[in-house]
Amino acid sequence: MFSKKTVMIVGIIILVSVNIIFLSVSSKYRYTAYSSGRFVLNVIAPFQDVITDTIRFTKNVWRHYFFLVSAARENDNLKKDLGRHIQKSNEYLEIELSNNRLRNMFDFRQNIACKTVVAEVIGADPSPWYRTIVINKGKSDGIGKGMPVVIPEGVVGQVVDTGNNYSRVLLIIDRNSAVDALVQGNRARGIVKGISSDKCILQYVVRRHDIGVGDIIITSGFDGVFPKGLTIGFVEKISQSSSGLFHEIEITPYADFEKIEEVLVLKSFSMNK
Amino acid sequence: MNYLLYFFLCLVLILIQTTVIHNLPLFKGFYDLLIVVVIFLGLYRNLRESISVILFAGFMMDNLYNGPFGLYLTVYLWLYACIRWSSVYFNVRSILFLAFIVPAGVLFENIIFLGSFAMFNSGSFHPSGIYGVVAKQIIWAMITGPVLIMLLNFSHSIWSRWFNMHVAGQKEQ
Repeated sequence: MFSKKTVMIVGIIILVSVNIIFLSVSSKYRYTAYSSGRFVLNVIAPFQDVITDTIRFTKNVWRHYFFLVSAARENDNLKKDLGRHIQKSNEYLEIELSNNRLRNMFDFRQNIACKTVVAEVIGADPSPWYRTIVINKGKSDGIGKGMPVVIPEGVVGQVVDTGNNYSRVLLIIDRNSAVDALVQGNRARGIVKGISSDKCILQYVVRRHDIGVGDIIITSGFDGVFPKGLTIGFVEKISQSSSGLFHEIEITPYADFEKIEEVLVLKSFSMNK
Repeated sequence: MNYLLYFFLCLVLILIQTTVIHNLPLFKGFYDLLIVVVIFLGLYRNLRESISVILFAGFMMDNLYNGPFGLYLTVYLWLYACIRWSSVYFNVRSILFLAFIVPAGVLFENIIFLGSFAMFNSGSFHPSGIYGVVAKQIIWAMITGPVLIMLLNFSHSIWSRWFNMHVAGQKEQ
């Protein structure tokens, strides 16, 4: 009755339609209570943990040891002695850097009036269009969905999925992220949204507010996720369009998302109590 | 054993993508390495073997990224179908075809992703970075894609030879 070509075309159209409907449904219910993501997270994350630790160790050895030892080759007699001292000195340097970082984190932790958990970053999102990280703390450490994640420099994101020992954090630069924010100087309110690049945009700031490049953006606390007053970033660029009610503001976050190694999860601010 | 080999390969590539590449500034913005596996399966392996590996790879990726579940599965399955279809009309073993098909696969994945942003309107969308991300991925795919496919093919032939000689041979004895 129908030609083979017609059947094939109809078949493809049906397949595409089913595919789109499926994606449409799954995009609405991304993290369900018993999502398979948790299973995959628990399977993959331990390997990510080991690989990340190995990479960091190798990087440290490369950065602090081999470069310096190669310089010591000029003098064979001093080579061993120098190498040993350099290694020691690098160990101290690494300890000092780590100490500074942790002290910074500790001071910050003291200033925040809520329970916190320190976690290490062990993995990142495989897609360049989405920005999430995996941390090595999960339900067994009291971490739950919706908890804010910060570092001393500023806001990092919030927990979107948790396994027993690992969690996934949605970064504020992800396109699905939105944080209620204030411009520190004039208290103008807006929403910081990610655009999946290294920047964010500040939306819905009414044009009557005077905003300047370099103005600091902080959390407002109105979203019920992040405590009030945490720094997010600073204004990088303001585009003035002739029409429209709002400013178009580009923000550079204070957190360097490419270099984050440890984060703090704020436990008391969870939405899912 | 082939299934195990490819499942393991997919796991290794996923781990590389989520940990190693993010620590190497040179490779920032590298393309999805599983595209190479999908293309290799489409060109050189049978349907039954390929589909199970693709379903596994898609399922794992869908659970590790932050977008709608099923998007990676969609990309891999349709890409696989396109590769099978194109093998009817083109000489798929030629270097020229390999040099073209991997960037095309990368472009296809990005189009599906960008299409999903537009269609499902999930989250904000800023077009400024799109061209840079896609162009970088395509250039990487052009440079490394054909080499990786040939490397996979070569590794598979060595694996088959080793397997037939040591494991299958011992069973016969």
